[in-house]
Amino acid sequence: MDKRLLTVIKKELKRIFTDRRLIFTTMILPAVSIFVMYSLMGNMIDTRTSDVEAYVGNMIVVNAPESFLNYAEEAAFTNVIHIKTGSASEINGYKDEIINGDLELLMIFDENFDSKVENYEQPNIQRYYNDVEDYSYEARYKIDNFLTTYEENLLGERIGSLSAVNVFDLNRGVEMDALKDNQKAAGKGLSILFPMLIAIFLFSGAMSVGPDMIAGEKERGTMATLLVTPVKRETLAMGKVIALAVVAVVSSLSSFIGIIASMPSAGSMFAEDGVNMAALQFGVKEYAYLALIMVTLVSLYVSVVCMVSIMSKSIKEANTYMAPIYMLVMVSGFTTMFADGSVPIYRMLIPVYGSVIALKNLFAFELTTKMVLYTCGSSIFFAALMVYGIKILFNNEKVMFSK
Amino acid sequence: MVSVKNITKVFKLSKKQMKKDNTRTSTKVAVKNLSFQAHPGEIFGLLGPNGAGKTTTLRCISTLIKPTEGHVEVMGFDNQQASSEVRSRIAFLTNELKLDEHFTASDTIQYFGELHNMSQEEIHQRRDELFDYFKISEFKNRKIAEFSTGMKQKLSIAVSLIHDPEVVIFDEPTNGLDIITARAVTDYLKELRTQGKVVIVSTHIMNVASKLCDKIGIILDGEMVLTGTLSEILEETKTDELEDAFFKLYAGKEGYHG
Repeated sequence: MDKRLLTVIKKELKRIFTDRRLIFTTMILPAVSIFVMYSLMGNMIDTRTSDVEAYVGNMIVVNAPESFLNYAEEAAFTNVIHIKTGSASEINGYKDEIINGDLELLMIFDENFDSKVENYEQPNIQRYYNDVEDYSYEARYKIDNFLTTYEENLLGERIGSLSAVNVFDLNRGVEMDALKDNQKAAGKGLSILFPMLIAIFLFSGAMSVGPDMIAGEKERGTMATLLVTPVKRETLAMGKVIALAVVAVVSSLSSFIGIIASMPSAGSMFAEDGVNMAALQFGVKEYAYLALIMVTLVSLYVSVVCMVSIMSKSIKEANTYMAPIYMLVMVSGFTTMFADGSVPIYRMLIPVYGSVIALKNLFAFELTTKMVLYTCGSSIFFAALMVYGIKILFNNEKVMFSK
Repeated sequence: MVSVKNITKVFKLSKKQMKKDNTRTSTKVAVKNLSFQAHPGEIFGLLGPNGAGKTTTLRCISTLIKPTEGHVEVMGFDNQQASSEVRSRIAFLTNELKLDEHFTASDTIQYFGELHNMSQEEIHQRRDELFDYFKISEFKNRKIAEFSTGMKQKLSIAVSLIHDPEVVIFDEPTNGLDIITARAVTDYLKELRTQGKVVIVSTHIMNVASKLCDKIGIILDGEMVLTGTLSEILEETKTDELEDAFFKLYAGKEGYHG
């Protein structure tokens, strides 16, 4: 190996790792911002959910039957929702209050509800709520559950015995009815968001410093000075590609640390109810697959960034070209977010998309060696193709010296 | 010796460039059948207006671009067949060079020294020589961002000369410099001549060409219209000053608009 390859790599790395601004923006900021962002979001969601669940809403009942009011009192439902009786002439006003968020529920019973029940006339109950107001939406669940038990109670009175209404019990004596692999369940939550985040952060890491490495040299005029040294152009190109890959990996590790650190408080965003995130335990194989997918994806990104950078005359131009590519990476990530991981194997060959799907399967503990080979092989193939293109472009005088 | 033999350089134009140049032809002849020789201990000046083909010629000599036709030999090496040998013997400096301001002067010169395969001892010795000459030794560990424009230009020259090349090629070396720095640069070019280097500079400034160069080649529209010493050019054009000679040649170049 040409020792000057190391010289180029060392110089590029020194450029990044001795620049406090770049260290902060590419290595510290991603971790800190992800940690702060997801921790805050997780905590806020938790707080909001608890608040909504604990809130005692207000309900107006028009033509309230005795049986309903008595049963609500008896079942202590008045502790869950405050019940006030209202007038039929004010119905429109009550509806406006619900729309404005001043009232959670409105129930309108048919007149003479109790006697209609007694005479088998099947009376009606109108129930109104506001589905864009969290308190009202939650109150609807509570009243619907209560109405079910109220109906059973009325049925029991009709038959003469409440116990006669119950034909069977469901899950009597069963402590945990949801049977699942806790590890898979925890991973499934992660597989929604993590693959997309990894794909995006890896690219943004490469994108943050890539334009300066090549387009910056062209803009400063140092590229010509470099190219008249006896170093082969391929060596210069490879030195820059490798250095950028190192920076991109370090930057993505920073993002990854941020994600892991935010897990305890962000768990509520990722996991289903009752899933313990601590159950997620990766083995050596999973970590090896993760590293392999990330490294090959980085190599693909770095080659794309270098290619764009080399074709640009200035850092500004490179950043302009980079924006739509960044959008493509984000779209690839978003399309897989709610997709099932079980896609046809040939789709694993699609650059970026295949890697994100592979990561999705990895977190769901459903990744196979064949999938890894397909996606990593594809990333390496496209990266190699682009590195070959970069070498050609480094020798293309029109590209290197155009103004 | 640098020997340029009948080089022609044709660039393909993009549609955007064709529109910009207001032309229907998809190619542009930047340099046409151009020849000259520059010898050790001599400063050869390429004089011409902007767009005449000076930079293209210098880039062809420096191996940065390949001539479409013709040959260039540098110290006996063909710059197509033995480009690496050529590159180890030349320095190419453009006034557009802006070194990365994040690095110190020492870091920068160290990097280029290593790229030229020099040992640490050679780099340090050569660095000290150049920094002493340009009076930037006391600033060697400061970041380039803290340097004045003049100091940056001096450092750029030092960087390009770290490997003590036999051939020094400067594209518009004094362009945009203040009078003191410009003088320091031209003094150094004279010093290089004294050291027996082949020095090739391009310029559009008559004063630089007449005072600095031992030989002058006047380029118009990609063609070398006249080569010789200042007195030879004046005699040939029957003028008293280089500027008059230049405009006489310029007027005689039919259809040329610079």
